[in-house]
Amino acid sequence: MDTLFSIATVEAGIRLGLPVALAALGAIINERSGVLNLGLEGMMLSGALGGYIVNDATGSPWIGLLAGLLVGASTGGVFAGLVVTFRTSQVVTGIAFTIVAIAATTYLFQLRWDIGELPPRVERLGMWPLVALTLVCVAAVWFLFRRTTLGLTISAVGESPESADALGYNVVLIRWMATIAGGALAGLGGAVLVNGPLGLFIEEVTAGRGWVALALVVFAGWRPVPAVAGAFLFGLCDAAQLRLQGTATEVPYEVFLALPYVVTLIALVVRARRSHTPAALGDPYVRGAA
Amino acid sequence: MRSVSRRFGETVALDGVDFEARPGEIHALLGANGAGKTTLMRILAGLDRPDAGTVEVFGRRIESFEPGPIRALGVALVQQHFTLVPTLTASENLVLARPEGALLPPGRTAGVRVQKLVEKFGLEVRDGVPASQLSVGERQRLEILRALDADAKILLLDEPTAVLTDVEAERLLGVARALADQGRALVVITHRLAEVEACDRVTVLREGIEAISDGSVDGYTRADLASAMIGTDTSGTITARTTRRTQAAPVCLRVRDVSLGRVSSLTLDVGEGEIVGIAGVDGNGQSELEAALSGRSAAESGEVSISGEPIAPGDPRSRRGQGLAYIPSDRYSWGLIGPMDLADNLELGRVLPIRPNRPARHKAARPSLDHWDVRTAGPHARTSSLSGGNAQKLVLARELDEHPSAVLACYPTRGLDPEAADTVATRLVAAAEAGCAVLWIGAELDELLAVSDRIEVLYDGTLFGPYLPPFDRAAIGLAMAGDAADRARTATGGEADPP
Repeated sequence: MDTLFSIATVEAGIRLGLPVALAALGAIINERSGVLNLGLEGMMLSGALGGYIVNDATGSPWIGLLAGLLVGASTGGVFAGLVVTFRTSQVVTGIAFTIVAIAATTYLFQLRWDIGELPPRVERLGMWPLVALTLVCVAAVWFLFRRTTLGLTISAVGESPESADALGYNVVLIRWMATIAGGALAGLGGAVLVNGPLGLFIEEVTAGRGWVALALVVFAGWRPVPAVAGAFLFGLCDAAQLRLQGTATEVPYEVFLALPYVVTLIALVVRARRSHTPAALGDPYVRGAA
Repeated sequence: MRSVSRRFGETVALDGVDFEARPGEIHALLGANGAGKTTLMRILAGLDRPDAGTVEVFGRRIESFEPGPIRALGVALVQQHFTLVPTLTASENLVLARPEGALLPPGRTAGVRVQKLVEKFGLEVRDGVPASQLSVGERQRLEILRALDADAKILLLDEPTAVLTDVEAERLLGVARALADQGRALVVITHRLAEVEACDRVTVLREGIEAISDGSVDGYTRADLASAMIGTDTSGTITARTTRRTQAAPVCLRVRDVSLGRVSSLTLDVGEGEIVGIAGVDGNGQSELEAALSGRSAAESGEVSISGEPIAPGDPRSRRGQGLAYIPSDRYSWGLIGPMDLADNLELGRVLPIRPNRPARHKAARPSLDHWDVRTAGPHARTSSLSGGNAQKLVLARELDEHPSAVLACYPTRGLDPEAADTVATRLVAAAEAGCAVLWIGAELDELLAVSDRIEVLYDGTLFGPYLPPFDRAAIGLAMAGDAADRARTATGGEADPP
């Protein structure tokens, strides 16, 4: 049990929390504008594959991160086109989007590396640069919503699109921008996972971290700092379960695998009742249709 | 605005309307529901576009109807449904409307901005709490402040006093006068005559056409305005009844002191075989009255009984059991289930635990559909494929087939073509003549005049009347616009004042 409470576990926890933190920040921007992004897991996964391939091709994990960001942003654009412009159901589109992304990334990955073939390990970034990157993102999102007019506008669009429209703001454009920004951060999160702690891509590498991020956003009441704190709690549990798997106990290892998800769920149930959901979350906006 | 027209599907909301607002004047826009007042103002504010006609603001012709550029010209609309962001405070709402750059101002600066506006215009608003926690009056004052903060030269107020108490409403009209004196142009939408008297000029819209165009308020009496608002042509689409009930009948539907929302301690009796028409402009408590009587919402207080048997509040099922037929104002939300077929809709509310098979059900439905003249492809047709008139006849078939003792008919002819409207009215009259107590809530005075044995006017949650045949159209029109309420208030107010 000594190994469980070591510095190494904490460090691993931070590393594993970073991708979730970034995805959660993306979801916050997204959802504050009133767009429910259930495609977050898929966007993370797309970013992870993009980041891996580019890192493998260029040998630079930094360019890999940039690729993840861009892939994420473009998936965000596709999603915005569907749910904001064509006003498809945000729930159905989000889930479908994730399913398609899982299948598509698996397919593309196997096109490049055959089944059974061992995909190469890519160069990994150390923990501190990624921590710094994430902190910059947290600060930026915090600043956006606390101190900028743009942030206020995004919130207004998510709370009361009619009001924002009547004041002359372009609801559709703002939601597009927020969805692209959300996708970019989710993609960056996926790329961080692959170019940071893991150093390789496997099918469904994100393993539900996008869903966890979505849950954390609710838990954090759509505020960036608590969301990131929650992400690190999740990361810590994830690291702990990895350690526990290694120790010989009577408990089947599946229980440890489930641990981070269970903790996230509990935190969600305890906290979520007090948080305020953006009033227009999930509703497409049509002028004049009250 | 010159010959502005706007259609929504088949409905003509505005038909070649001219409208002018001048600086330094308050212009009242008067009209009943659906007259097109709100549509006209939404067009002027860029929230809707006209199908024909032109709009000029300070001599500049508006080409693209978008709210942003029109706001920039100095036009501000305070809508009936407020457009404050409920989670933001007063100062944040002001910053959202007119940002001071990319960064938000620090809390204190923003607070000072609100404070300055409050002092300048005398409109009190609390800052520091989300708009959702402000009172309705405060929210409205904040909306007006926000418009003034953008230096609105043309201020459009859509039924501003509808949500206010009398004292607040009076204060608001005082503020409006002060703003007009500063050289702004104000437009006040209203359906209350008392408010028109506080304005300079008046335009009355009726069914999308000006009944009075840009007249001086002094030139019209209350009776003129009321008759312009409700119209004088009595050639309704509904065949008038030749006989009216004159002697009192045993009371069937009894409403005692019912309060719910706007409706305050409303008392009403409907006798067997009697049609009582509830006239009035929408939003004076009609929807609350409908909800309370149909059992959809429990009344806050009071009692409803049918044939002497009291019914539990908020219990639609027992109401049906006691013989109340309900023709809802929104037949697609509360009357029918669109995706289901006609036979299934006919059975709603009286379905047996084990139902006959589909062909048998369809066969059983056919006589009823024929009897009620529902013109369709057959009992298997989807209900959503029906025209408005046939859908309403289907509701009637279900509700009236079981010989109810009372009928609650809410806007039964709304949206129907003349022929269907006449059929529906005839059937309801037939039900009354067979001994049913009919309570008919309607928006069109003409149809109520044609069918009712007695008319009551619902204004601000209170009934005024009764008006008996032969009906005095003008008197009912005045009551709908609040004249009776004003008189009653003056009378009681005078007595209550201490010497």
